[in-house]
Amino acid sequence: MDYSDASVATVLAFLAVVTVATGPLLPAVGLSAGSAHPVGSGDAAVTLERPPVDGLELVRGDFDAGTYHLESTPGRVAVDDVSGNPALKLTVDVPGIYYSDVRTYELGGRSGESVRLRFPAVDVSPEYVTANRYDATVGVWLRTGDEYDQLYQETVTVEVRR
Amino acid sequence: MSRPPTDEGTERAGRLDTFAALDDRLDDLARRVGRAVFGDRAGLALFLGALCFFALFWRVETLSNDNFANLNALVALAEGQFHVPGIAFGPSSGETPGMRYVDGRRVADNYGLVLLSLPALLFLRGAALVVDLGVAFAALWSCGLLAVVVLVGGEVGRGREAKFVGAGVALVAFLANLAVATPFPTRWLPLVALQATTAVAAALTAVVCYRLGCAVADRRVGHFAGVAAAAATPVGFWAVGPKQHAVTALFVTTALYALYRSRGAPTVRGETRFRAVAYACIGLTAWQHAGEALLLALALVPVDLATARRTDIRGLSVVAAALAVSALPFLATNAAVAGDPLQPLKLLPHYHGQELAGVDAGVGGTGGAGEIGGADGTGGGGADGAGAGAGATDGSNTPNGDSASVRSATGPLGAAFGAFGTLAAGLSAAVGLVDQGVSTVASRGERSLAAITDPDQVAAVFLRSGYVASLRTGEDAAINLSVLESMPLLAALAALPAAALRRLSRRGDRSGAALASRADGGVARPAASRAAVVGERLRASWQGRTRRPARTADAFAVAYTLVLLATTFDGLPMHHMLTVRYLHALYPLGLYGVLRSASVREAVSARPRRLTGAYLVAVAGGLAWYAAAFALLGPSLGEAVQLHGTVAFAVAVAAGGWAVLAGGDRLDASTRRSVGAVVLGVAAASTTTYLLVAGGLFSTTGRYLLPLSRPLLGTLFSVF
Repeated sequence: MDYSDASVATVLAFLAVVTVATGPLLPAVGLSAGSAHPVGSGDAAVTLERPPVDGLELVRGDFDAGTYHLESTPGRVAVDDVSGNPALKLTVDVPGIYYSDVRTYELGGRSGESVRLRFPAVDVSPEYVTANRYDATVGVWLRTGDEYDQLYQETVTVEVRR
Repeated sequence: MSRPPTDEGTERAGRLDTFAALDDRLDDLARRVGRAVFGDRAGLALFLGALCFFALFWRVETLSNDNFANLNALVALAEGQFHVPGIAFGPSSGETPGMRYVDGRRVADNYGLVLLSLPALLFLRGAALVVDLGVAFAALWSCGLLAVVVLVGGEVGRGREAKFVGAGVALVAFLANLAVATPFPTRWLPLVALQATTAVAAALTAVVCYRLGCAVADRRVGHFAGVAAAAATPVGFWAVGPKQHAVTALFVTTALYALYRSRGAPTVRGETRFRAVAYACIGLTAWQHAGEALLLALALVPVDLATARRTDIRGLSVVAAALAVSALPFLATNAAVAGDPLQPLKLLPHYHGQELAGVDAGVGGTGGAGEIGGADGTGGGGADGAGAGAGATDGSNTPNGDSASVRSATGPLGAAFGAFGTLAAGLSAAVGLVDQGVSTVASRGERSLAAITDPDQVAAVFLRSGYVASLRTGEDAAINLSVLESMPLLAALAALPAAALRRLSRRGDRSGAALASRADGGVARPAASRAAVVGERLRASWQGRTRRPARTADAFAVAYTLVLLATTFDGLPMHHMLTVRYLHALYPLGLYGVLRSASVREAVSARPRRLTGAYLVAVAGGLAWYAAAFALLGPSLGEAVQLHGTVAFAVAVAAGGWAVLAGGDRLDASTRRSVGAVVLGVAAASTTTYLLVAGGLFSTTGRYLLPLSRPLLGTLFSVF
């Protein structure tokens, strides 16, 4: 018997069996059902240790990118007692440059961890950035089902670094 | 003692023979189709390998709002209707680019791509009932890896070892994917189906480049061409971008390959067969995008007619028939969607929220079709006034009963005249359509000619991208690469003019020497005789050169490039080009140009191990470097793209420097080959790295085809 052919046949058979066994025909197996909880469901105990507003700046991009994006010292949230897949939401609104954004962090399976909060590095056109500073409203929220718990919300000043 | 065969036994044996013969015939057919498409086992390995590579960075998410029209059209088509009554993806209004309006209905404008994707969608929907697609995609990927390892092992004479290695690799890859697998959201199956079509087209483009490389030089150059097409050009980028770019590139590359092979065919019949394939690419391109088919025709037809061995009626009728048959899907789709076979869907009015016939009827989704039929009848032939010819055609066919009575009244002669009239009207409309297209090409050509004299615009499109201030505010994020940054390997094209200059200079030296020897005692010919000899030589040279496969293919590649630039360049740079996608078909053509350089072929053939080593080290080093840069700098999307642009441009400058020196014969043979192998390997690796990095960079949801891609690409290279 040629063992090389047998090894190929064995692996192919294994792939086929596992693929069918994990499918809807055998719901009890469900190998790939790891994060079946919808985002924002469940609950968690969270503590905001530092909001991401220290050194908040609108920084012009390097490498001839030309556009601006938000930068700050990352914030930190301690997470514990997670059930389901609750979500942290970092919101930012800078009306002076027509910019608002939300970043979502899924907390499922992250009990005992510390989550770093960073603004999404979205490009803002230089045509909008005409002043040297802007007011920004920054918020941190915990979503558990239909409820949103406010952990932080302040209006802060954003300096422009050209 | 044997018993005499009974009637029943004889019958059974006969049936078995029939099945065996059928089985043999099917095997033979499969072998023939496989050989026609892939060429050989290496071509098949390349095809599967390319698909496995694309799967690594296959984001299951839309890349732009252009994708929504095709997605919604595919969903509607799976429910049995060409028009789009409901919106499953994108803004609920349905007002997205690519959505058109005809006879009170919303329709998409690329049913070629949509129809080709329908079987994949139906298959995926069926499979989802039986298996978890997240796991199934991982299993399929592992099977692909196994097949590639076994095929490559067979090619290098290590088939037995390859089976062990392949089985091990497949098993480890599958278990790794399984460990991080999550349920696959079936809502996105239409998108996966569209992407599967473009991925297959891109993988086939790599196969065509492989076969082209084999034809231009040898199998080693062919391997380089195939792998480079998949992993070192933006073909890989658009393999998973559900737009027509990958399909158009496939047909343009196939036309180039067919033209090359046609001129190398030993018989006129062989030449005509390949010419027919080239012309069929025009009709099939039209199914995706009528404008792009016109550009292909404008480049292909003159080059073919000027260089074909025979342009008699018989040869022309064969290629015309190929063109006509290949255009049937285009014509049939236009007829089914817009009611007029000669109405390109891209020329239908955009959908801006106009009143929908089905919505007015208001009773259920399925009643829409009936309503639309009514709207067609009452709406009149006016239908946007796309052309008088079209109206005339409709008019002769609409009242079926009347037509029949006319036929019975005038007899077969009258019917023949009627049919002739319909044909003439159709041809007239077709000619009008082509004429309109050519006029558009001409007017855009004038504007492009003016634009191409602007050095800033040329630099921004071809050399270094960066921030482009002329783009609209809000659409000016520097997420676009230039042509050279998208494919630094193109810098090797610099070897071609350098080599041409060298040849000219040598020829000049030889002429000078000949003149000197003549002055020393040669016999001068009379001027008229000299002119006749020169004329004869030029004629012979033209006929000889143009019939050489490479010269014809060169002419086509140059013609297509010029036609595409003439119709596109005035609008560039645009927002969201990413890899200058409007010039996408030029990348495989550019790769062909790179293969035409003797210095490149020499480096590839003489130093394959150095080339492969340089490539693999550069990919590994590049990925590690980008991961570190992302962790340290936390770049924005534009910064990350431009970071790559800067690096790729520097790599291209190095490759270009080598190409100029090597083409100009300024390096000794050993240095030329060794440095060339390293430079080409690093240039190819630069694009491979970007394809993988972009897999994380442009992902906003972290949804991938392969479960393993999320923790790898989606974590290391994400900016969102």
